[in-house]
Amino acid sequence: MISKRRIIAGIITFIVLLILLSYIPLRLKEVLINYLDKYLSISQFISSILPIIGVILAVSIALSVVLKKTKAYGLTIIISSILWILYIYVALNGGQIYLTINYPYYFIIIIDFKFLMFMIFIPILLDLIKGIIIALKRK
Amino acid sequence: MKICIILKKFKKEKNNIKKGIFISKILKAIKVFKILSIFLVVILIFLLIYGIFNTFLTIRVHNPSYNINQSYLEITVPIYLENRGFLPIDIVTNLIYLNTTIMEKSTIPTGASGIFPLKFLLKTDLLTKGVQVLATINIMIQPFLSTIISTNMSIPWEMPYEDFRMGEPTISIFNSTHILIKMPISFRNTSPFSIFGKLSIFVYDDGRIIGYGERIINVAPSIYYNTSIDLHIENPWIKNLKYLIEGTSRNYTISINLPGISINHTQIVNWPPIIGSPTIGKAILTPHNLTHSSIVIPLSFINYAPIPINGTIKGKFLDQGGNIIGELYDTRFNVQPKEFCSLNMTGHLKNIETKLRLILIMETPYGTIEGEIL
Repeated sequence: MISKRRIIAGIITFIVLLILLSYIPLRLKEVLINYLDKYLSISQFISSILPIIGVILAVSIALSVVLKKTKAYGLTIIISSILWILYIYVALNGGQIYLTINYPYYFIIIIDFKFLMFMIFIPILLDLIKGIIIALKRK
Repeated sequence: MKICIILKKFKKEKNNIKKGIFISKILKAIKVFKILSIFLVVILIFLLIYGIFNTFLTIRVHNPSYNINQSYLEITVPIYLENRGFLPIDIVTNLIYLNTTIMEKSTIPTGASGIFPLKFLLKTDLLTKGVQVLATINIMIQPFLSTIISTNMSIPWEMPYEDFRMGEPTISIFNSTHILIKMPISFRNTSPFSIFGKLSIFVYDDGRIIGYGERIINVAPSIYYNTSIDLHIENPWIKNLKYLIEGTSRNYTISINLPGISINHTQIVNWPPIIGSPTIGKAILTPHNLTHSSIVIPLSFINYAPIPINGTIKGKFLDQGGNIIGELYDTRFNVQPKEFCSLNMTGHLKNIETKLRLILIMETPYGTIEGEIL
């Protein structure tokens, strides 16, 4: 039986994550395009599918809050972890950011931080293992 | 029987409890590792950003300096920075121009500071006005970060050898085998670079080097430079003595090597005769004694060449049988360039009636010329 407290906590988590993972990236892209596009070509800087993944991720994490201590908890953690990895991968553009500066000179800047990105994946991968163990335990 | 079943259940429960404890231990370990890894990643990112930001604040790019040495344009961009991060910074520069790639790598250790010159050497034709360069700078903090900055820039310049002129040369004798040509050279350095290096001139005759001259030049931007270069050339008249009288025409290839560029051109040079238009006047005979007479023979020529000539001229009179029947004494001459020379050769001659042959012998620093006059 799911308690009311968990449902409320889930809803709050969903709203907060929706703002952080979907709304802010969406607005940030607009702001960057409006104010910086003269100097920087940032069309690929924030992927357009990022807010969509953000919504799905927010739903998945909210579900994991709601379904804690149930049989589906492990599965929600697995899905959340995979979505987190996907979200970070898309947000960090696969560990490579391309920037084009048009002013005062024409420059192409490629920032490569794949190694750092894989390090960020470590806690998420540990969460994924945790989810698998919980899912198998519940079985 | 019942006890047996109870024992089995108990055993199963015991196993399940053991399993549960083991799993919860693993989950706890995962939790600890997760917290630790988050902590480490956050610390690492913070240190990286802190180091990069602090290092970035110390960067000062000074004005680039340009230098043309023998065959390269050297561009140096002095960059001052302090590596305030916790890892060394590798900087790799790549320059691609005219199908050539140049790579330079430097490492700035942690805590190091100073001016790190980014040097680019461009081998290019300076007669063109500028060059298109694809420059790439890779700044690496291994293994965490690599930033590649690339730009396709054009470096324009004005001609460094504007109004290049070679003036009228002055020619003089250097030694018995070579002549010295002082070649005035002038140009204005309208480029933004200093020109430093060797100015050399090679002269080829049928692919063989016959002359060479060099000088070190150092010309600052926007300076009008005027100099002369000493060119030592094989004496063209020494090659064949008939050139002394007839002159010669040579097809020279002249190669001028200036810092950054080379100019080759062929030039036909007419070397005029040194003993030009030789004329022998009418002989004047005066009785000397019963057996001999005195003789005076006028000789004139024009030195058309740009170098002086000196020497002696003498002669001997032969009869039809080849016997010496008289002589002309040594007469010295010293003729400056473009000067007319008139000599009176004096001697004696036996008083016999025969057909005369006069052998004239002219001794010059270039060799001895013999000629027969009937």
